[in-house]
Amino acid sequence: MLPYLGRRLLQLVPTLLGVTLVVFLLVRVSGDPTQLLLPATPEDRQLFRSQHGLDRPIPIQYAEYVGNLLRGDLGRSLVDDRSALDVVLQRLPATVELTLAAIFIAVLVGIPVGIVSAVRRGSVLDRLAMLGALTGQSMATFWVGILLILIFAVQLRWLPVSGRDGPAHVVLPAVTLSLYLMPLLARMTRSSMLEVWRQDFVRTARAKGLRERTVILRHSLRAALIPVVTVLGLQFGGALAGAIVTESVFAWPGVGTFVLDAIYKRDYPVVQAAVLVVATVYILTNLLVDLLYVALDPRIREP
Amino acid sequence: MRTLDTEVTAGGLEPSVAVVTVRPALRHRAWRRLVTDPSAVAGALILGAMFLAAYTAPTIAPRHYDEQLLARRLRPAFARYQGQIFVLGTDQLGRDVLSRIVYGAQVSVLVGTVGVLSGALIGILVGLIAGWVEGWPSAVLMRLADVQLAFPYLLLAIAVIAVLGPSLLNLVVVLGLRTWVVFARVIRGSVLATKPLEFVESARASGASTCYLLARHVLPQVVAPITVLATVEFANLILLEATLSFLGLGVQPPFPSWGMMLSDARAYLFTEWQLCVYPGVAIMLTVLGANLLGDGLRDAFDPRLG
Repeated sequence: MLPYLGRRLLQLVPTLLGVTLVVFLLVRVSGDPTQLLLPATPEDRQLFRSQHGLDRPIPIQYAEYVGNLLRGDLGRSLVDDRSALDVVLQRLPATVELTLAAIFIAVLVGIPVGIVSAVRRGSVLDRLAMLGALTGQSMATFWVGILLILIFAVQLRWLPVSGRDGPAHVVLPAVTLSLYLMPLLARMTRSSMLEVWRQDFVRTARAKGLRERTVILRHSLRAALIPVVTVLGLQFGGALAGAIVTESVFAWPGVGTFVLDAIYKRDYPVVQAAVLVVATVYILTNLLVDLLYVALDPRIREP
Repeated sequence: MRTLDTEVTAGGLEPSVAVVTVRPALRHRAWRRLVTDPSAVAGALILGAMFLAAYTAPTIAPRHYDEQLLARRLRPAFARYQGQIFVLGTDQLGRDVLSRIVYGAQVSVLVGTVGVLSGALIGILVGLIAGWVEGWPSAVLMRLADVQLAFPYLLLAIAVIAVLGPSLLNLVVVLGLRTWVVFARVIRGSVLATKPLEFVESARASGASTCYLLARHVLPQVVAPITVLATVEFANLILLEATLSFLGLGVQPPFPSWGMMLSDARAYLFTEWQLCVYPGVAIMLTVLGANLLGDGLRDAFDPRLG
């Protein structure tokens, strides 16, 4: 396990470097930052460039940028001069809370639906569930949010429309975000269960005369869940990105609303910091999922 | 069922002949499975209707998408105003909602089609090279794909458009950027799987050029996954376009896009809820159509699944 972990951590280095390069270039192609400092004389602009090292060659600027990154310095907000990293990290817990709540709901509903669909393959129930999953997959996340607000907040008045003030507030955004993952989990679980049932060890278990319930829950489920866990991990980043949109629908005070706000204000250091933080969380989650995967299925440990 | 592999190796010394005789039969079978699958046909019909709406929008839309009249603003469905019927009512500027939805199909269809085509073109090229040529170029290309996959895509798209500025062109560029990675990976996998097969080896031994080998023997093997991918990605791109437009990062007003219409409608959630429903239904139907067709194609090409 340890050598595997070491190898995986080493593989992270080029990926993370690539991510920083992309973020760096994104901001550099956005044009001359001194244009933002209107009104300014050409001399003022030149002074600003040399003060901020913008007149040096791009590779050197990039090296400096990475050096600053390693010291935890992601620049300061152009709007209120606070540390970009600090303000993003301050907003991160709200986003993680929303994402985890959504994943919890999606797992709680999606996996059982997938199991039932697989057990009753071809039945009306299975067809309805799969059509429902496909329809759910075809709905834009933000539209689901709007519809839920319309039904549960405006018409029925059961739940608050927006904000983050107590457990009731998390329900609608979390359900909205979970509807993005749920269909995928249900479909994945179903096809994975059906795949596992073709294998010998399940046939053996059935041949031994075990009850169908035991075959399903104890023998098949564990093996069937391996690909489901991977998809869940891969989709964590998708959910995190989906959170941006969900947050903006529900005015949820997380990284998403914050980054959109920063984009409208052209506060590039904050946008940069947010992209970097989210990308890093995403990469680390994927690593975690891979390790979990290895724990579930030891055969993968070989290179 | 006879599989491709056994047929091909049975062809022995005349590999190209064997391939030619096998593929039409296989394709025919897949085609028959596709047209007898009701949900795939339904999906194709929905998609066809959307393409038709997009293509003929100026003719079939009852009114111009930007015909404003505040005197008739925010009317419900089937409202009458001066003898005219507004089937889906009017929006906050008195524009005909149905016309705007019909014109909105142009954005979705265009972005989906161009995004998939450009992504597929680049992805297929990169995938072929990365799969066929061994050594550092493929390693670099695939690392590049890894880096891109390390980003939550939506966030990358938002960041890129925030920098480049919102426009239809930038939207298509950003969406194509997503798609190439997906295609490149699948194509590379297929090339790697096809390359060591006997008929490819023997064609190479008989002096066929690389281009000929790729076009004649490798590409036909990846037609199935490419077709499935294209429909699924088409669906994804339409959802992404709607999302970016909803956030104000897509096509700019007054030209209508479904995501932007929903974004505008949100301000009237408490009083004119119907405005929040129609564009969403349009998005859902189009994406559902593509997803149904994609599922149908997958089952048709590989009936063991599903």
